[in-house]
Amino acid sequence: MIDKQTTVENVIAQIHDGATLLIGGWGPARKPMAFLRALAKSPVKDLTIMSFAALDLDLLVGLGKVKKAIYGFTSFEGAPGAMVNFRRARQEGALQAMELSEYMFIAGIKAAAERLPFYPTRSGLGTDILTMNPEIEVITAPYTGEKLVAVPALKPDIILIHVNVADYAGNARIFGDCYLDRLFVRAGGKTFLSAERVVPTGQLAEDGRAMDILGPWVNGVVECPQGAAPGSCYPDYDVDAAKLAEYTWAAQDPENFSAWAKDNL
Amino acid sequence: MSQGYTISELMACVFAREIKDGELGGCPGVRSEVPLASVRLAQRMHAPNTTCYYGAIVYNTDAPLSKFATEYDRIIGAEASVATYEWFDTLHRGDIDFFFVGGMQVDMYGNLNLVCLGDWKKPTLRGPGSAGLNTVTFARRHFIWINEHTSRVFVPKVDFISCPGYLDGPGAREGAGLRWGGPSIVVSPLAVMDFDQETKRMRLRSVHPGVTVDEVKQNTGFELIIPDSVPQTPAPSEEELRVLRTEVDPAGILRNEEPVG
Repeated sequence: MIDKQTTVENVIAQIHDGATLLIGGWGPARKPMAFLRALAKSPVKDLTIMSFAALDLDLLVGLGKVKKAIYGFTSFEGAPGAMVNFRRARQEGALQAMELSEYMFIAGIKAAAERLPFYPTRSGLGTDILTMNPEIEVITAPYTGEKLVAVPALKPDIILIHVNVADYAGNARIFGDCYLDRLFVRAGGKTFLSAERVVPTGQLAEDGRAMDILGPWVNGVVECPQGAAPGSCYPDYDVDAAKLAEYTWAAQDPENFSAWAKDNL
Repeated sequence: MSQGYTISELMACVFAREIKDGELGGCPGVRSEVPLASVRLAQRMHAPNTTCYYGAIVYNTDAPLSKFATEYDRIIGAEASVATYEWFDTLHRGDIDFFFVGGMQVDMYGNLNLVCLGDWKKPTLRGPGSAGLNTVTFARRHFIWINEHTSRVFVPKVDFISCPGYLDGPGAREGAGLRWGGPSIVVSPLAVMDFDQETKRMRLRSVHPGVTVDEVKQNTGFELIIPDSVPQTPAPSEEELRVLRTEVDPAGILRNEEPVG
């Protein structure tokens, strides 16, 4: 019987310097914070982070672990808190960035998930996103002659996702919005799930609905209750507003941020 | 007027009057108290068959009007949660009739910037990013709402086009491959603007009660098209205010500012 249960430490050990991480969730919702807290304490550096970003990216930038950020937005999206470390790094010109629209980001992951070199979309036409990413080409569609943006495949090495419940084989259910996580797991690279609960294989299939995260694409599962805190994991818990406010306050002081984050987050 | 309305209430009424019955609309997930209020007002006044998506992503939610609404707030009381994935497909196809969008800067052609001020490579102020903004332009039309009418915000040219308006004039959207859509109106604390069909430049449509045309001109960093006669924005009617205050915004989120009228 397949058993993919592992530990947070084993997952973090798979992440090497210079790796490209694709992080699931959206803004403050369902981010794999248990993994990221452990990553914060590891010596890994020079990461490329691909994310619909909030605390995840800001934390890793604040700890000096990020060489390049690829994102569709950077916002706490309604939760209290601000991207203080990210904003500082961008304003100092200290971080490489690939600024995309939300859908261009999705298109790049779709390309990777289908092993295509690019994915066509209208998103980005007429914007300075194309000016600032000169490597992204606008193509002329066969059949119609329309202009379309050809977003290159965005290929992760490691995919980290938090779910409500997973089984031993890595099948998983997400009870709020899946966001793009169903797609992310198929983008290539190794996928690791943290889960509020882990149950014996078979228990998640009872209602006959299509599975949210498919086990064959998952390399490891770790039970991490409260694993998305201080972000939210619907319906288990909402954002911890006080903690996010404290985080934002601590991030104002770059000298002491690392020590604060390792001890308090 | 004895009941004294606020600018946010007036803006909600202006937008509500733009919404037609049966339309499909969308509000962004952040700072959407005015857009959400306007949709709910329209649904109760004249557009009961209108459906509005909100945030990432639900539709027709009873979530409280709030500057900060979490995923939790949005899901509770929603008619349906929508897979984010499907939402983008719907929007790209051009099936959304209206969408609300704001920005740090807007220019004379209605281009919006929510990415950064200054040079993108080393910005003086980093904003939230492009987000879904440029996808908004695939709605049939979009409504621009701006909370500060000054020449810092209404600029000749935005520092970064994250949501294309009419780019640099007639034919430019088509040239860039944008086959439909574009901003229809801009509502600020001072006035309502629309776009001249021929030049695609922003045009003053009405000034809010108590505001002069000169005041709008002085606070706009580019030359607005000013028609010979500029009417006043109709103030909220008694019925609009009653519905807003008793049904849409009983908590008074939109009244949390100095009344103007």
